[in-house]
Amino acid sequence: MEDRVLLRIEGVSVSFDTDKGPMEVVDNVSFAVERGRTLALVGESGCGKSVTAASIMRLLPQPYGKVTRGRIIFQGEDVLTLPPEKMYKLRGGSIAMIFQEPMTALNPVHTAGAQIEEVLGLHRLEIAKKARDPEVLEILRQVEMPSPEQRIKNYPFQLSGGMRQRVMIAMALAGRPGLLIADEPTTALDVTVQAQILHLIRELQRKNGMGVLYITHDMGVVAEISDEVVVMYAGQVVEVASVGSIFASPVHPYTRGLIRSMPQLDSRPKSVLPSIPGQVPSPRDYPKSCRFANRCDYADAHCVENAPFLEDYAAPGVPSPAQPHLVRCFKAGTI
Amino acid sequence: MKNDDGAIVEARGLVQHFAQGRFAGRKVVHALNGVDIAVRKGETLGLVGETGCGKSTLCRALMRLYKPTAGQVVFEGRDITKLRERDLRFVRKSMQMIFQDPADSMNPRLNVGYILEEPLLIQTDLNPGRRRERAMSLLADVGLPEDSYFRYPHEFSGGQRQRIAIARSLALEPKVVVCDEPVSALDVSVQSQVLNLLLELQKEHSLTMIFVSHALSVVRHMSDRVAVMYLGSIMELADSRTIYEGPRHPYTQALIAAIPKTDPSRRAERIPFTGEIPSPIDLPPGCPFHLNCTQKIEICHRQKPSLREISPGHLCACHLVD
Repeated sequence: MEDRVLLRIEGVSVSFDTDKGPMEVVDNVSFAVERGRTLALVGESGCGKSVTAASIMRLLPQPYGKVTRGRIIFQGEDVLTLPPEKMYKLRGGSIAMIFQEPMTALNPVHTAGAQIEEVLGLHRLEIAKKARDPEVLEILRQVEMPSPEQRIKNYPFQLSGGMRQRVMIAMALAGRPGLLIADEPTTALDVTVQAQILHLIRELQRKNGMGVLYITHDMGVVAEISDEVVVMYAGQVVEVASVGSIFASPVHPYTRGLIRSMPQLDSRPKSVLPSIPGQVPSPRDYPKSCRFANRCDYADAHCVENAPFLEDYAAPGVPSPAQPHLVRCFKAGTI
Repeated sequence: MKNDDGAIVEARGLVQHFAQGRFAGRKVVHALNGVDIAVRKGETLGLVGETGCGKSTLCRALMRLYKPTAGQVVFEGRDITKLRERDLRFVRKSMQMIFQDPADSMNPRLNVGYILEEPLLIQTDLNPGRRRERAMSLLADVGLPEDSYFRYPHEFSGGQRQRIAIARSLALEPKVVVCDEPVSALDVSVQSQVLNLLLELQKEHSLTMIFVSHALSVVRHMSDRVAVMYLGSIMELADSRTIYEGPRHPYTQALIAAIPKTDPSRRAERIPFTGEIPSPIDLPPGCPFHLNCTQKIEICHRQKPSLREISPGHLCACHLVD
């Protein structure tokens, strides 16, 4: 079982130094990504999901951001203690990342081909310089780029949003990563292009068995792509379960709210949508108690004064499932 | 120029071109290519389509923010296509807009009170006391506390800022509110709050709304009828249930199939449609969609299909559908 795990995050906390002292934005987060599986990290802006991903790549803004506790084990090694040379090999090599807005992540003054080739020059030294061009073309074919011979010579501004995202994915694949971190890669795209990109990521994963950490706020995308789901709220993990359980029987009131507040394709048009009242607190105002209590319909005096732990939740009447369903809520099972 | 089907604002054969570049490099962007659409009084008309299909251009053209290249814009039965800016003031008052990013659509140096009163200052002769009263009642309408009046946009969260933008759009008691991606910049849990507010205000003020979004399930939820656009043309128009449950146009079918399903057990291993959208600078001849259409026949290469009624209230522009 253990060797299937590619990445294990153990009790990671991240804090930023501000002029008003340190501010903890990620609190004691743990999860594991397995080979050939997709874990979705879900939450709204400011919940700490992108910061968690950045800490895996050790890309927290310096010198303000640091991992204050915990370990990040990738293929048996703690990423946090690796020397810089090894980190260079890791970034873009064994772990690749794609971002939300490919226009800002790509270099505007280099062609698409040159940017993919750069990755080969850094991480695929076995390929001779002369053999790089055909390899770039081959990778572009893998990401199903339309007319790749032409696109190789194009600059990012000459490409459509979907094509840019394909170039990003091509750059990520060029290093033959074991783990792909995708930070909202389809948020800026049209639904048709989104469907193409999600399909592409699934296909590539099936072929080369990479693990995918998929960060998103969109529960629809979660349902389409993930195997496991980790829901974050205000810097903490509030629920962990398989994608089936998350949608069939969400337990945490926040997860339930997220799923219910999306307009469904079979809901009554123009009816009132269930919504979560209030707004996400700022990291400076995270309460010591349950962080969701002030927006929760079920909160009582106990919730406002005490902090719940992330605990295994066994649904009543259901034989204990293969995968634990973790929930951070006092009311789990009673609501 | 009489219309009796209850249309409040209408486009008739509307063509909107924009020039790009100069001299020898001059190109024409064909943003709208003969759009016929009537927005009915009191309804919400949803506009969907991919980036660059002309949904925002259509909204702006209906508000007469552009000078149309050809065709007509008709507001409450009156042809406003050729009106000068001075004569358009009544249109400006009657049609208001809510934009995607409320932070970009408000002057950061003005307090909320001024932001809400500015339209009144321009369009009405209310005295300062009355204006302030009106601003306060607008704040109450959108669920913001009274002290917001003295605060500045940066002091609010995204959802609250969108509430301010909504309050501003209602200041002149408009008849039509155009919402261009009003919740796309908001967090999921706040999105539904704002959508509920829009639905509530529409009922209260009997507003006509034009609702644009690339989030198809949001448009379905908000709209009475939905128009599907592609490359500056309307491909299909019907009530929102029909569009989502029984789409007839191959493009609409592809679009609807691409919506992520919220049920992981129904996750389909479908192959999504793969084409790139042609450039609006070099429009393809024939049907705008034929290059990406899996069902195209010979005539689709030559002739652009017209938007025809295929069943009561259901319009479709496709040679294959009768």
